[in-house]
Amino acid sequence: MGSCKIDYDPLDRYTDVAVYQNPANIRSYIIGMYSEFNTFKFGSFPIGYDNATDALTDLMKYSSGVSGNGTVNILASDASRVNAAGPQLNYWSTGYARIRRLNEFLEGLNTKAQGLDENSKLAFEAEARFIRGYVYFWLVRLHGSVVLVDKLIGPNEKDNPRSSEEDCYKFVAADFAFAAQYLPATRDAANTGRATKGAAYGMLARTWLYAASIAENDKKQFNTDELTGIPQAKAQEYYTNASDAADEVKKLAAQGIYALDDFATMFTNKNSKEGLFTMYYSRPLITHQQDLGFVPPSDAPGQALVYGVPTAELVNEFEMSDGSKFSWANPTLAANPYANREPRFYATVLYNGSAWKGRTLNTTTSDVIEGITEYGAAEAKRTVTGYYAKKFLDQSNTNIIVNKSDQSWMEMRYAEVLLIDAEAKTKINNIGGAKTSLNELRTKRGLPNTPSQTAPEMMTAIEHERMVELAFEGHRYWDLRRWRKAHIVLNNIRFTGHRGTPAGTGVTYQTVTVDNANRQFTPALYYIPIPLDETLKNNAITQIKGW
Amino acid sequence: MSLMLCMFCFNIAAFSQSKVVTGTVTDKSNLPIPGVSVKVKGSSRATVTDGTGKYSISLDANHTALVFSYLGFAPKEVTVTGVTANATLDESNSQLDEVIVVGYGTQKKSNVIGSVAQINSADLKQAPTMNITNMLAGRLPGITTVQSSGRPGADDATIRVRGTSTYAGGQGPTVIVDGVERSFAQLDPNEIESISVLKDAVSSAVYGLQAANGIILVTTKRGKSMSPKVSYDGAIMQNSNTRFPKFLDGPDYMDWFSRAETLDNDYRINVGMDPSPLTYNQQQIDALRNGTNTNPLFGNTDWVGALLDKKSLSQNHGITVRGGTEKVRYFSSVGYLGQDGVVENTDFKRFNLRTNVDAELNSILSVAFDLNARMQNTTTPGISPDNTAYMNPFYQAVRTLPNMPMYAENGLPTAYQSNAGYVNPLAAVSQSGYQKGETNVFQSNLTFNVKVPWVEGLSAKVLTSFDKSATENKGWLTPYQLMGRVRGQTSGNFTLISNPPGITVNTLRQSYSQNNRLTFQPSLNYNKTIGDHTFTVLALYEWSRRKSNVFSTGARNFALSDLQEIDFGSSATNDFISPTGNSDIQARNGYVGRINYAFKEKYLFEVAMRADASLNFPPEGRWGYFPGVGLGWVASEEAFFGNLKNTVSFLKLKATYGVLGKDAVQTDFPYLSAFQLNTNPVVVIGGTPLAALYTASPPNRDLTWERHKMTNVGFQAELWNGKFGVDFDCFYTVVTDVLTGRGSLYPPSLGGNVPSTFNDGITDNRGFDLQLRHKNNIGKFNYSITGNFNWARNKIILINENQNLPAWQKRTGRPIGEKLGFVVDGFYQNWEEARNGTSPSAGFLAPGYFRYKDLNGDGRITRDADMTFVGRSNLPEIMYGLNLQASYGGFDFSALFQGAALSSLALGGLYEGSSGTSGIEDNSPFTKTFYGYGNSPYYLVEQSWTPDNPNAKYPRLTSGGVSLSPHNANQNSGFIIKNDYLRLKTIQLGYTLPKTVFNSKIDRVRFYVSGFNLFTWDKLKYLDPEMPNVNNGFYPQQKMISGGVNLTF
Repeated sequence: MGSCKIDYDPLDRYTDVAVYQNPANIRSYIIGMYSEFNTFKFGSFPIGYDNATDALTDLMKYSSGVSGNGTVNILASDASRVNAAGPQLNYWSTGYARIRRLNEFLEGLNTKAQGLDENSKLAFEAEARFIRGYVYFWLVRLHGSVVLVDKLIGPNEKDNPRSSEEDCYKFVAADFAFAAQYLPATRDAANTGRATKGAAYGMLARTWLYAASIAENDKKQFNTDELTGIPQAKAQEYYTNASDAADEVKKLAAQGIYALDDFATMFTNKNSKEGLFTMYYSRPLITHQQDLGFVPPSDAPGQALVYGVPTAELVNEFEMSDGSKFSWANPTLAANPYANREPRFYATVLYNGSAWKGRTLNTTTSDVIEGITEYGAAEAKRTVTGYYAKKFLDQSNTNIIVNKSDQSWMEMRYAEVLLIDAEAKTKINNIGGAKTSLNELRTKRGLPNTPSQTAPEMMTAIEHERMVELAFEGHRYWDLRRWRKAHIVLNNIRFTGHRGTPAGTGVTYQTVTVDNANRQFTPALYYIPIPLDETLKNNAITQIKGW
Repeated sequence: MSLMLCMFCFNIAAFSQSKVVTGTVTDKSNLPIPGVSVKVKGSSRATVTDGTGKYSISLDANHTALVFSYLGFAPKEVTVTGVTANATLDESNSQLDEVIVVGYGTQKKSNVIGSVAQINSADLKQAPTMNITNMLAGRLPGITTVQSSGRPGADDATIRVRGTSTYAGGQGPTVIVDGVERSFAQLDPNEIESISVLKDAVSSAVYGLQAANGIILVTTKRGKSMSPKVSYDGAIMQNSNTRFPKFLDGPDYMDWFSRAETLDNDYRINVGMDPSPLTYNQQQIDALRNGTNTNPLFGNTDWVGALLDKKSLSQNHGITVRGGTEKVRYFSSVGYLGQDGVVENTDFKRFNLRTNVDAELNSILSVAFDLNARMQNTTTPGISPDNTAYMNPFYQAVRTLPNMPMYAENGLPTAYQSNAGYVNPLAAVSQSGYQKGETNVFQSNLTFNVKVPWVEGLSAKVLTSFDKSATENKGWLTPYQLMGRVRGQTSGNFTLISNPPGITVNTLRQSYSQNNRLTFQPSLNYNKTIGDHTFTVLALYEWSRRKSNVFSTGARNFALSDLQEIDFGSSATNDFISPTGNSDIQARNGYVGRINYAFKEKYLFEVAMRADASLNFPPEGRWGYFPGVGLGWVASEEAFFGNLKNTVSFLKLKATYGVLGKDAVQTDFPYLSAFQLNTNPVVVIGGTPLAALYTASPPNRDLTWERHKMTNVGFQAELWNGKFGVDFDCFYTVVTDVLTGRGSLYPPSLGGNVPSTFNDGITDNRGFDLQLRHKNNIGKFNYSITGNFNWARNKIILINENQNLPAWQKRTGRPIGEKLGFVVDGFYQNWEEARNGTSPSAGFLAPGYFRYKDLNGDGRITRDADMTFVGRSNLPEIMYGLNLQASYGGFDFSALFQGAALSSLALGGLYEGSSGTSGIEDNSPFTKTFYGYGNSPYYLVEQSWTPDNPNAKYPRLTSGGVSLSPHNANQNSGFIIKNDYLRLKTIQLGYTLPKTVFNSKIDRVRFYVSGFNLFTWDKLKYLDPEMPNVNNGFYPQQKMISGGVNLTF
């Protein structure tokens, strides 16, 4: 009796070789890797809510006091929440899963894709290394010293030590530099959204700026770990590298590939030339919740989430339209605090009296739906500072529950490149070059040139400009960390809002604290601990000292 | 046929010298017994009684005695004097002659060497008609069941045979219905003849790869050579919940919530935060309590009660027809079951249809043709009342607030914004749309049997079977309007909420899935008796292939919502629901051989072997060989037994050993390197949403079978001719090459580059099954008592686990499924203790938090060092049942007490799928007051820690409004409870009308009342002991009371 057939092929998958023999399949394979950037859209990483890292800083206040929507507030005031068993800012296993996929892709590309010509192969490799560099940049930004894996490793190679922070940044820079070399400068219409030369140079500039800031500022003051920190002597070299990479982007801008855009409209413009690297969305399949998360309550009665709102600290930072500073101590300005501010203010913040979707916002205590409420035990779901976050909101989206949101997320903008350039050039004492870049941005934003002359003045101006220009884009927390200022700016302090109370025909504003406990940032937090799951199973790794 | 022809010739030849004897065979209550075998003693002549118990047989002058025999009755010999010979048969107490269904055949119970337990239809039907898996609890030795949901149509009990012996892959037994792998949960009990369970290796060796977790063999009824007998069974049942705790009412909620907030402020002050004002004031509470409340936001609604405290009705009807001639026999049945759930819009309907026909075509060839069709209709609200569904109505009920009116002033249902969204359990079940599922099952067997004419005892059989099951699901979700308020809102009014909970537009989803199985099973069977030697030899080949596929699509945004068909959905691209679909294929084949040998019915020997191939393994490891061998010795037949035989009428000792296999790999094709495509687009490139290819887990080419080596030793005894019976089996199983994953062994930095499945690990499992029977009659009073008891304890001997774990955290040496957690050693009682306490979680500790034991003594509490095993598996180690039956005249009574012991349940800790949550450690509404900002049961607030209740059972009373340290959410022993229980599982009282009452056209009329799950004795009191681990509300187990009638024509 012969046996009947049981050898069937799988019906639901491709076999290995078939994938590498067809460039269209390789494209489908590498495209999937871009889904990693969704983790970071609108600054949602690592706390899981859009803009939440800004809510760890002085720019934004999350309105909920309870875990979930308000987890960020708990983290901001309780440093003990971060530990190896629960690092809170945790990208470790997701990041390494993506790194493995990328290394697997690179290995397959080099061993199985025989039919592919050398240039296509290099372009695919560059694309994979661009994404890998980005993933590693996050891991290094969080932990300083991480495990570097540059090839596909199997179960027998599970034990790997951490590398030094300096080597980690060099590794990230090498990936971006390779990507910059082999990626195309532009993409055709069918491939918008894939990495380009400019994106890689931008990331390279950001990477070197981080490495240089840490070399300059860390000075091994915050822990005794052998592998964290970067020798101070390297700072000049790395600032120079950052400046060089930024110059490469500026060359591409000179060719018309990138340009500063109109601040008020570019965040809802899907094709803004400011974007060096942009994540796109498409209804109804791939959308996000930025609008539902941040619109004033009456935009979606009962359902608007009002995750986070701008702080008084941010609002005060916006200059007057003539470039002078705003001050509540000036009675004229205080009487009419929202008049004649610089244009970015009106594109970033919704304040009492703003025109919004055909109505005039009332954020004073007289409005029980949209007016200010005290931050406390519950989820407020309305402003606790007197402001709402306008940046990124799509004013044309009137049914956000059904439509959700599809505005693009610019992971890196040309404005950031100019700010990196200004900072790097300031540090290598090219004040003139630094001022050129800073002023190019300020001019486009409708502001006069910076009056700064010295390097410290330039740094103050750049910090201010980064706060205002890049608000809610998830930069501030990491800036304060790389400058090693977080334990000063974010510690033992309560941030504030402006409570408006109707008085006669006008409104009086009172500064109120919006934190019900002091903020806390301990020096140990400059290096997030390696997750316990890793140190238990990887016999070659050690925990960062101090954890 | 040839034999019958000869008999016929003989009859003609002998006619002149013989007389024809007729008579009726009845039982003690004077009811006729059809199908009784009537044999002429000393001759080969025989007949059977017809449907009215009548027979007719010719008797020559040399023979004067007739022997009447029928299964379940003691054989009777009658000496014939005239032409009429009536006989009254007494029921037998002995089970020795009972026919036991074993793999690919039957055996007399006295000859069975393996461990096989069987239940017949009469015993099965002592429970109300429902899902058959729930009718087995406590009735069979060796079976363990847990029923975790009471939802009609989804109330299957989890069944385990002898516990479980492996920690990976499926652990449930394989069910074979009429020779083919099929499910049995939704068969109609009226169509079942017997269910037998094969527990040891030799009896299940013939099922090879499917046998490792035990085999359940279900045999359906077949025709008999008798005049047609028609039966009707009908019953009506009332269902209600066994248990669900009482939740706080409106004023009590506000009162307890204020107390909780006061304690939270104590926390705030002690950790350097500003206190918050209380949400409710005493006037509001008093006003609500004494009925003077005028605040439109407040009311008093028992949401949990309104959702669950209803009673519902179910009914079932079944008609069977059974009969036949010598040549053609038939059994047909039609059944209907309609179950209404206690939750509104939840019901289940089932129609069963079966016809089994046997025909002897000629002296060599016979054919059996079985057809079975079944339709199952399940209806639930749009928001599914499944324990595992996120935002299910139970979850909503325990979360919504009782201090709201049921309806707002404008008549719309009220809602409250819990952390998950707006909840109103009643609107969720009445207004969210529906989910309808229709499953149509078609099953057929065609079996040819050939008696090979030139070799006596040799027969060949070919079974072919085609089964198809198709399910159509149609889900209509429709937005509904609620009047919502946010947490803590005490002024103003409700706001109109148009899209709870996340249903934005009306949406229709339809899916169609089907699976079909082809089975081809030719076999040869040879029976031979030479003197004292009896042989039975079986050779069989089996091939089966199962194909399945599924596709689904849908539409959104219906302009007209009355017609819920895809055509009526919006045709805008944005409203499309992208279709999905995939296919799957599985195939197996194997060779089976078995030899049974008996010498003088005293020494029994069985050897069986199966060779199997599974597509789950690479060609190198594809074939597995599964032998089994068994010995039996009927000691009571030995001469030395002597007079002892008057007491011990039967004693058989038996032992078996064998190897069984399992092919449950963790992913399909684990030995192939492959790429899969995302079902949904993941990224927008070039303006287009695109799906991407991604790699499946890396291959493992070394995979092969998981092997279960089972030893079974036991005895079967009967005392005083069956008045007492004992079946005892003890077993020991060793499992090697456990098919398991290793993912948790590797550091995350490896990025998960690990094959899905390895042959790792060794486990063992030991235990015993015991059945004790007593059966007797005192005059017209008959009674029987059957006790079943089984115990099974497994142990992990080797598991690939992290060697850096401390000894008390290693699973090696411990039973499967034990619960990990911190050991609770009382509470921190004051702030000083709390400040000096340590926690695995961040945040401040407070008085009323659990104090965890520092197991490694390093002064800190850490997850890697201080967790240990604090709870047993969910699956009880011990399961037992006590079945009482009695009858007196027309009355009959039965009761089944069923219990389980040595298992535990976690009320909080690691989520295992409840409410769509898995792998997360957290509290639940049953461990943390006002969990998820919802309501709390009375028992919980009353037993929570407060400064006035320092010896509490549950941690610190909290309103949830302050971010306490998640310290208590870590798995811990404080939330683990013993869920041992004893239930009055079924009880039934019946009365059969005396024959004199009605027309003789009707044979039998019986009325009965019965109950199911009427009483439970356990330690939980508030919750059902079979409820799912760590949950957010569940569909409660059901208690039923029913009344019914049986009619036989």
